[in-house]
Amino acid sequence: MLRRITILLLIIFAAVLQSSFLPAVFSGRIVPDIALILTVIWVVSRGFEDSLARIVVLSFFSDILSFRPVGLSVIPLVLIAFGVSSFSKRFMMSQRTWKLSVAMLLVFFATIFNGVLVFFLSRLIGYATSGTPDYLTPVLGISIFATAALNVITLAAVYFPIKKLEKFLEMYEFKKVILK
Amino acid sequence: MKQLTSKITKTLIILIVGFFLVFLNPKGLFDPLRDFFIRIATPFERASYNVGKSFRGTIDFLGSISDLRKENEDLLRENNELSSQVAELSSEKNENKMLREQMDLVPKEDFDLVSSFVSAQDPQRLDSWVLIDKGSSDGISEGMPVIVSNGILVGRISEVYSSNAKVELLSSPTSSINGVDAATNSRGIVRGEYGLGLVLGMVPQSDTISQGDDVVTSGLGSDTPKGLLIGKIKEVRMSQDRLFQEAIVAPRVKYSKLDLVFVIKNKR
Repeated sequence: MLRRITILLLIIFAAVLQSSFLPAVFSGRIVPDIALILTVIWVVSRGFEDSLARIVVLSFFSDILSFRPVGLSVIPLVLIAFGVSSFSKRFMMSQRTWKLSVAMLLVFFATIFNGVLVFFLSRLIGYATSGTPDYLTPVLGISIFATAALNVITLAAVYFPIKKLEKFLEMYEFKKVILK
Repeated sequence: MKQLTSKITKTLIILIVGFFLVFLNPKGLFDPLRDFFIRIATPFERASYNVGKSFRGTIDFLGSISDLRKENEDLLRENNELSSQVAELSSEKNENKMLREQMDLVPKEDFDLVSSFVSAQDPQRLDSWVLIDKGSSDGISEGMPVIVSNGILVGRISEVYSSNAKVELLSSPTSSINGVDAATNSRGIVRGEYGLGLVLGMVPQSDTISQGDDVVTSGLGSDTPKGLLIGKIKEVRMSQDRLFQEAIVAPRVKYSKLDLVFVIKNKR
């Protein structure tokens, strides 16, 4: 239970960071996508099925705090999770560094996929709801590659701390069960 | 195989629900929920935004240390020049006041302003919108213009919640406002354009717009008062259809670095 609450708080924290801290730090046009990075890390380390609930909750809070239509983030993130899980099963090695390298590669392509999908989805939603394509105004351009590169760097920075935290929470819960 | 089928089924269910939810959004179904969570998250967002800004400031400062010496020399020189300009400016201030009266531009003392802090920004497009920590409980309503301390228009309120409001910045591609070249009185529509900042468009060929002129609000067709500064004309060009002139307008403030803003509730 404590583990779940901690994870929920961390998810909300990540959504708050995404909407306030990161735009303030990266005052250019390119901001790392925490939701996407966490999705890849979770799927790579825990698998598709175990990460699904977290991805849905993270998408919800991301959409709420970033003023996007609720449900918009979950579509690309779940597709990315599905793709990452299929690829990681084929290519993942047991060594930690190899896992990180594959995760970095997956984040790069996932960012481009996410950018393209959100661009077309928002156009579609814009036309369907208000008759204009500018409902959400995302941008598809060269900056998508810069965002992908930034996401790769961010993933490399947070990959091991997040895995350590997961392990710590697992151990904490395991100890509690044993002591009972 | 069974595992794969289960994976595909779950993915499909979430995708269908996701699509369904997305199309429910314009009906405002999630507004109370959004209001609730934003109200809880605002203090954390505000703190997080401030930490981010000071972090950014530290990075900028560290990056500029090597330039400080040269900058110091320049500042000393500039200081001497400025001292001589002070006397000159005091007379120009009176002249400016007179010109404002002539042009019917409204100084900010004439407005009922509500000060507010920026607590979040669009993480996908930094020049699209900002979230402020005042909402309907402070008398904020949709369409109200938002300025910075020195009377420069930055956007308008687009969504209002009980203790927060979303400000659509002028640089957002969905934003458009009537503007006028303050020097020549040529009217046009200022709209946001990605990568270019602001564009003053729909200016008839017969009108004159020149590089370096200030663009201010014309006060037509919205709640935005006349005479709020928008920016300075950087470049004049033909519109794509060659029927109108248009000008690239450089905003006077960097929208991604907004901190304290003022909402104009009404004219006093």
